[in-house]
Amino acid sequence: MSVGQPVVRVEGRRKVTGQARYTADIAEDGLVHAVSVGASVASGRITAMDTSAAHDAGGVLAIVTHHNAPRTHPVPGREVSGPAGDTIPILQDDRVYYAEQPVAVVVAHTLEQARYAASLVRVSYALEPAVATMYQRLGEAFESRYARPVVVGDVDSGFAQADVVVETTCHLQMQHQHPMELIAMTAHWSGDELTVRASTQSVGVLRAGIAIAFGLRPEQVRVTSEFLGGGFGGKASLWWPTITATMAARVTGRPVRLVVSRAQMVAASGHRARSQQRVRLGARRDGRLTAIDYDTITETSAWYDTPPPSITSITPIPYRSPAIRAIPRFVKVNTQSPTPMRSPHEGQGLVAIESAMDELAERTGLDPLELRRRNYADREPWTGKPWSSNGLLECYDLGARRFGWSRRDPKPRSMRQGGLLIGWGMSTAFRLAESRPASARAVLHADGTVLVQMGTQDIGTGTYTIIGQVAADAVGVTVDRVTAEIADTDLPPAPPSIGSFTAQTVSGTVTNAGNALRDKVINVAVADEQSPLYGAAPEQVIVHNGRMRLRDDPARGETYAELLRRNGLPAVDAIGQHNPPGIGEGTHGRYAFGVDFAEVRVDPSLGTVRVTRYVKVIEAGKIINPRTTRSQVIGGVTFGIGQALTEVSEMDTQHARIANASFWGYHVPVNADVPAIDAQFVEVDDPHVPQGVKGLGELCTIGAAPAIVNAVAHATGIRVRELPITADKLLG
Amino acid sequence: MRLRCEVNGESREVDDVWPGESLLYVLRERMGLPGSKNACEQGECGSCTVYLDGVPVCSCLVAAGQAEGHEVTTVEGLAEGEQLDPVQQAFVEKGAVQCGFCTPGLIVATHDLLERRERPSDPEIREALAGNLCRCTGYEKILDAVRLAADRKAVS
Amino acid sequence: MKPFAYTRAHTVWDAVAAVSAEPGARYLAGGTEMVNLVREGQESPDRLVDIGDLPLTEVRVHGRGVRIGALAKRVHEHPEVRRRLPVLAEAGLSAASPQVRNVATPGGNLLQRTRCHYFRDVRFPCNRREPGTGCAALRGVNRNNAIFGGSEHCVAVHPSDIAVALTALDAVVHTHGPAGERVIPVEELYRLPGDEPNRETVLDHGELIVAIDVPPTPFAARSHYLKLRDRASFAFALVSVAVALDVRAGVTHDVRIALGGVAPRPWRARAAEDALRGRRFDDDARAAAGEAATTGAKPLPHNEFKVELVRRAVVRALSEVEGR
Repeated sequence: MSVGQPVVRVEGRRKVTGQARYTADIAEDGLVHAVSVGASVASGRITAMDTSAAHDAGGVLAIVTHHNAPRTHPVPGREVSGPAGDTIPILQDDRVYYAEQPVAVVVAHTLEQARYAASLVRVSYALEPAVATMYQRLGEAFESRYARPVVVGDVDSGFAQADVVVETTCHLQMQHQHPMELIAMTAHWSGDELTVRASTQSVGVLRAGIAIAFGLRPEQVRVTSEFLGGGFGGKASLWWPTITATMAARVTGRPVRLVVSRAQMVAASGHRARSQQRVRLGARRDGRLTAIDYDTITETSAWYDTPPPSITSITPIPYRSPAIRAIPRFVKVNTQSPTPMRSPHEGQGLVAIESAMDELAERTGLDPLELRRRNYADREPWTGKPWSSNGLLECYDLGARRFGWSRRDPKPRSMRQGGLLIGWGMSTAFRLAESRPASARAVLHADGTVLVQMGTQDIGTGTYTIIGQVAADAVGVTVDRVTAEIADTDLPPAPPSIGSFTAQTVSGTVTNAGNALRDKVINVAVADEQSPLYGAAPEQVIVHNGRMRLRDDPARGETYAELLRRNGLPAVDAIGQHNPPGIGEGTHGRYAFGVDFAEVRVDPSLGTVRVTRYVKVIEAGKIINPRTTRSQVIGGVTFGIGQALTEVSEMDTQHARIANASFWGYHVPVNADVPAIDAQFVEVDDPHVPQGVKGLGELCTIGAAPAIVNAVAHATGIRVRELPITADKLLG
Repeated sequence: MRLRCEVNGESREVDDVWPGESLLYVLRERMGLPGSKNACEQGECGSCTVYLDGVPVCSCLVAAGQAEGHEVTTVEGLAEGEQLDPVQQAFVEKGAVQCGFCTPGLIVATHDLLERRERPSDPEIREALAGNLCRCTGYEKILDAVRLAADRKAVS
Repeated sequence: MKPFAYTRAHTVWDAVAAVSAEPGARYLAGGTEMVNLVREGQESPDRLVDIGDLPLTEVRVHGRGVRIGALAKRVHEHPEVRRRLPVLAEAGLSAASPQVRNVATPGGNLLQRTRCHYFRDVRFPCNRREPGTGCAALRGVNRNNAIFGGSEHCVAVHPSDIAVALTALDAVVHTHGPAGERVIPVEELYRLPGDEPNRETVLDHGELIVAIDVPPTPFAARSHYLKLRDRASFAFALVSVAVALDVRAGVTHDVRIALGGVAPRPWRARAAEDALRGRRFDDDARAAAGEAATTGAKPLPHNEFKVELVRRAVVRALSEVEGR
């Protein structure tokens, strides 16, 4: 079996030698460069534009504005443009809804010429009042018809039965994915056919969106993305760089590359929205929950009739309670639309829920882990459905053992070393473990190699590698015989690489394609008089290392290559489909689980916090590749350290513009911020998901921020309710 | 202006370079060497790290003219033909690569560290790589790779 | 960015002449700051005069003082600097990433521009960048801004680390300019913003820093730079403290304290020094120094914490240097 082995990343060699080609790396004949000019205001109308100086600058080919841009059709966000995306018309009228919304695109022969000319475009605006943060309009918070409240039992009577009630409100800041790769698009028209190279988590979403916007049939649009330099949710939808690059290419008749700057990254796609999360828990003296009351207010963009679907669902509650009420509400602000950032909502909601659980632990005198065990949900709390599988308790056990949790002194400020306060905190982690419909083609060549083609993406997590592993097992060859072609709309379609869908989607789809291919070839063999397998029952034939043989007579058989060559077949191919139940549908609650244990050391005098030890245990069913996955988990925890301690996009409320749109102003964790992280897996069988694979891309990060918040509270006695936990919040 | 410098051991000459272009831009857009990446263009992430006269620099902060007459080595110049440098090999083996966008800069920075220090301590590694941001791997596997490469270089 | 001319200077006086002759000319040393500023539009020179070839790279010990060429590289690694001036070595090490330190120069470091968000993002108004447009930081995101020395026109902070160390060490810069040579204490190199925040230093156009002189301060061997920031490394200071300490028989004989991250220039904390000099060097004295260091602080809505942080950082820096 190849699945389960720590196979080395197949494209690693190309990445370490600089040979892997990302969107902005690919040269084309006649390629010209586009630079977006963003609105300097956050709300208003364009009253005048002066592009003359820009036109006169050297090398300029075109300046696209709402006066001369190709007309586009509205793209319905909910259905087409992915988790969120720009649904406002780009360069179609004079309205400005957020700072840095494109108001012009300058195209020139070289990037430097385009940049200079872009700096010369003069725009005047009639300013309208902008809402910079939801705190200016909390009274206008509204419920969305797409974000249904969760109501189980009767919360009021639940609280009436409670011996202890705790309430906490957390304020979570706007944060940005800031993947290392800047968003880049290259658009190339040939007649009415369009090819777009894109840094995207979803070639399919881009194709569908472009086709609607530009009035094309989907077959006229091809989108590819061989390598992606990280996404974390920020490259999953149709955002304006795709539209503006396509327009620029249409207007100039040249292939156009558009790369947004680091400063523009905060407006060129969505972000983790600012939110206020209030949790009230009622419990018996023994810690068992009687009621959970949870409500959120989240920022959404000013132009959406309803908030983007990705942020409207509410964080489910991971604990058993007879009464649950969870109500999400929204406030419109003048920003780009929010979008998931390594989990749509669990990553934020759990900060408040797990903070409240720790406060409940203090009030009931229970160990935080024991409190969570007592409230373990043996069914999906909000539907009553059984879990497809649930290894949470095993995760608790393994994590606590590896961390040494039993040695924790429950008293805040009780653990010290030198002048430093030591704090230990933990959090439950969980996340939907589902997949989406997809198809793949598996091709066996006469030399015995296998090609898998699938329109999924590798956002850095290792999709190329796991496709090889899954296909190797399904077809019956070694993994080195398999190559994958992905991220191209000419290939069989697959869903966006979001929502922790990819591993499970690949497992289901590629297994079916590989099995179909294997069966097809076996059928050729048993019908071939020249084959040693002639006349055998197909189900009696098994394949190992590319050789078909009878199950009961290993000597009788031949290799795939021998069969194909003898029959003059250059290749045999087969399509596999994957049709899982819809999200949240089906007979079982399908979730992956985990637990985070964090140790922090706080300098109480200076307020500095360092994470010094970390254990994360994940139960995500079968782990396809422990090498790539362990690295992914460590990186995911690091992402959570940033969420907890360093990252915030600072909104200037006077201008409704983000003030720190740079890598020096927005602090992602650096090497020295991150300790050794012990990433462990609990594997349980899950018969309800393909190949028992659940997926964990977001689960890696979920749980980290709340565990750190709880650790800081344990270290200092200060429960910080506004992330990130910077020094100023601990000076006391 | 005309820019002449030695890149990965070859003399290169490029015409019509505008003084405002960065060395990174010249490498990527004019010399066909896109291995060095642009991720911030502010010297804040290390993705564009190259050797300039034997010391690692952020090539996005080097004006083209400053490279005139100097020697540049990029990530494309570290492997000997098909033979990966031990640093490159270790990054692949240890799972220190995910999306790979920060990788070229990290490879160059690590290569330099191991040229200067045979067996760097962990704090020395963290200090040497402090200017290389990574958003996917979380650094620990990168440290593993550096240690492995150091071991192998010390033995060879 | 705007097109500009690029020339290389081969002697100091050629360089000075070239820049002095053209109002739109600027020096280009390491480039780690100027290339950024030009690309992002805070600077739009007509000409950059590259001084990278000038022979100003030497670090030389004379008497017990140290002269540092304005273009010396990796000064923090120099053995004599590390031995005699640990505060300067620590400040230099903490200033940037290795890649940036490898090309950055001391002269350029002293003349780097503020990291105020509003100066750096040209879409915002900023009196320092465009006089008369207003100071957006006053009512904006001012967590990182000044608590000392600001004005109603500007509350930017000078970002240099080595300038703080050099101010504590009473260092001077030597300049060559159109009007000849002069010597300026580092502390006096910078102007407070007042109503002309765009005039950041006392240097004339074309005046070039050629060297930094650190005078003989024997007790500088017992010195320390404490830098507090929002992540473990590679970030600008929230508050930093440079200290040099001379304690004899338990009594503070002499001391130097300068603060970074709190003012438009490195901020010498003389009141804190006075609180220590001639007194027993104990907890009470250190606390008094911390308190005195906050004298005159005028915090903004988002940076009140800096006052408390200064107080505690001074105490911490004094405690840490005592052990050396």
